Amino acid sequence: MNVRKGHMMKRISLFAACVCLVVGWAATCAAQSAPPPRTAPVQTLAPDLRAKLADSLARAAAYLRQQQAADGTWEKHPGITAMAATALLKQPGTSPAEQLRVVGKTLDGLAALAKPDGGIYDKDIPHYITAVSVMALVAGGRPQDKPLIEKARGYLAAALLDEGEGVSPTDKFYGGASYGGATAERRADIISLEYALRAMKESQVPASNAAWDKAIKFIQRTQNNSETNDQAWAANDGGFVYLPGFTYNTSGGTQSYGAATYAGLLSYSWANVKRDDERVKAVLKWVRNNYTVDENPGMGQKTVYYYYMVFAKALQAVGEPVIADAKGQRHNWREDLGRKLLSLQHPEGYWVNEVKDEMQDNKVLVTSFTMMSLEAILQK
Amino acid sequence: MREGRVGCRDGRGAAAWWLSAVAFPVVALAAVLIMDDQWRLWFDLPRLARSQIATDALLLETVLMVIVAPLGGVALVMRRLRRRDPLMRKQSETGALHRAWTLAWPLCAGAAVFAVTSAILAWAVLGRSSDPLPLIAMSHAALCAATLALATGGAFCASVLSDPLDAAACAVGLALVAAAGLLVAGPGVGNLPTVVIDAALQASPIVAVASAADIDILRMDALYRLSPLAHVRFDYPHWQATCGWYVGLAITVFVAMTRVFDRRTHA
Repeated sequence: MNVRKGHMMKRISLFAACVCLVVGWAATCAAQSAPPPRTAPVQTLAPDLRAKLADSLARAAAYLRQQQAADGTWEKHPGITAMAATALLKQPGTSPAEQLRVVGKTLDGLAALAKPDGGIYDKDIPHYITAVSVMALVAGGRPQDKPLIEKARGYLAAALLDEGEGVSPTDKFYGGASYGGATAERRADIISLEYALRAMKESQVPASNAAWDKAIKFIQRTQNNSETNDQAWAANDGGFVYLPGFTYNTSGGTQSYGAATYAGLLSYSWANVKRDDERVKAVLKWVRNNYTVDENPGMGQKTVYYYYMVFAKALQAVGEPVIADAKGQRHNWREDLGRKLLSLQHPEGYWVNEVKDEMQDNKVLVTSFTMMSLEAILQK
Repeated sequence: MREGRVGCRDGRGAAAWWLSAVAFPVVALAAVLIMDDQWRLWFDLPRLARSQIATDALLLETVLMVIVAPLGGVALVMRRLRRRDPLMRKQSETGALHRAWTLAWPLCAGAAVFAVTSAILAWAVLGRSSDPLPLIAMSHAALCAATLALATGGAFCASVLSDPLDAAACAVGLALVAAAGLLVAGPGVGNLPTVVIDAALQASPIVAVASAADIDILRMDALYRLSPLAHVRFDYPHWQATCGWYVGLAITVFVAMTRVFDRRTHA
């Protein structure tokens, strides 16, 4: 009787173990295959702050909707239009269908700008405008835009300066993105490249595409990291300059500055360079040594809202919820930046920079940048 | 009558006038080829290198035109006002319309010959295909209109000021201020209202011609670093607006110039 009872217990234990294994395996598979929730809550954000940020975002979205022209555009500018549309389409807590009621006409207008070579632009700065248009069309997720997106991502990948443009791998601009145009200069910068790479990533250019490796060459050549930068001027603070050998840091020389550095960090992320890579570690060293949400380090208030956008998106991309600064003080960047942006928002819902450089006196553009910052704060 | 049609009374003057209009773009292109050290590889140049040469040549021609066109206008009127000019002796015998025509046509034809020569060279540089023809046509129409306006401005200065050197200095000075004043004015221009910046860009022949050629001149490396303009909101002028404004300006200035010219020749 005891022997039979013992056998029974063994069978039950074995069965229970199998059930546990099957359930565990199924749960793991389900977790891996399930798409990430669009607005996964961030545990490091205090609930009351989270609610305030969501409200702030909603007021900003309402402001953008008020400013939209009847033809769906903003400011009669395709770049600003695409940025505003992207900011609205990516707003957490809203459905794409709901947003498409607002920006459907906008996306139609952007699609109408498509050129036979794949570019999506009116006339000026074609690479830039194509990149932000692709972001808007991808965010819209409309089936009819897919062929345009595919052509445009090919246009952007081909636009990176390489042998096709007569730029050799030893050239400092190799792999960079220029503004483009019928008579474009062979010149590139990290900000333009970040936009191009973001659009390429969001439009799912395969990781095997040679353009990513070319881009990495250029990213390295704008980084103050002599270990990987073959340019003579390269120092070792890990930050970035605007283009190889030239910076907008007000101290001059080739000193790194905030906006370029976070754009560089983000560019590495788009180009599939992992967080444990030495080049990324070097950028994070600069980030720790220059952590601030009060200004664009090295430039003061100039282009500070672009800085906030790449700051938030870069730290979100590398998955750093807390930054320990040079003094060892730990910062929850989401809370720091969130509170800062709340303090800067105007009652009407917009943000604007008092320093007008890079069109940051334009409320629609700056509000779009800031909405993207908030979206990065609110998402994992 | 035949002398009047030539524009410059004596044969040497006329030859110099037309030769300058033709030689100017040729010299500018040659200078670009030599500076870029590209002339040895002429037949093997890739498309983008050719595009870069065409861009550089057009910009150089435009910059030089800003100086030479007003001087041309000054030279033409000063020549008319010289006592040994046969036309001067006949002023009282000819009608106002005819007198205006004898001043207008060398200005118009000189600008046209200059622009057409430049366009032919650009087409040759860009590979003699039909693809760039619309862009070449637009940019050179703008170049022609700007040349005409600047030359007419020089003619006006020459009709107002009696000293040729004063007239030349005034004409070239005004042209340079219009062409490059905004580009080199320093940080203050970044704070100007967009409408003022756009108007000033339209007034600059260099920016207007570059824009018609689809050259993003304000975002070219040097200006992007040095000028605040590339970092604020602006809209480049359209080539149609460029042609319209410059031709309109040329006509207005020309009418004013002929009135002053008539007063001086009758005095």
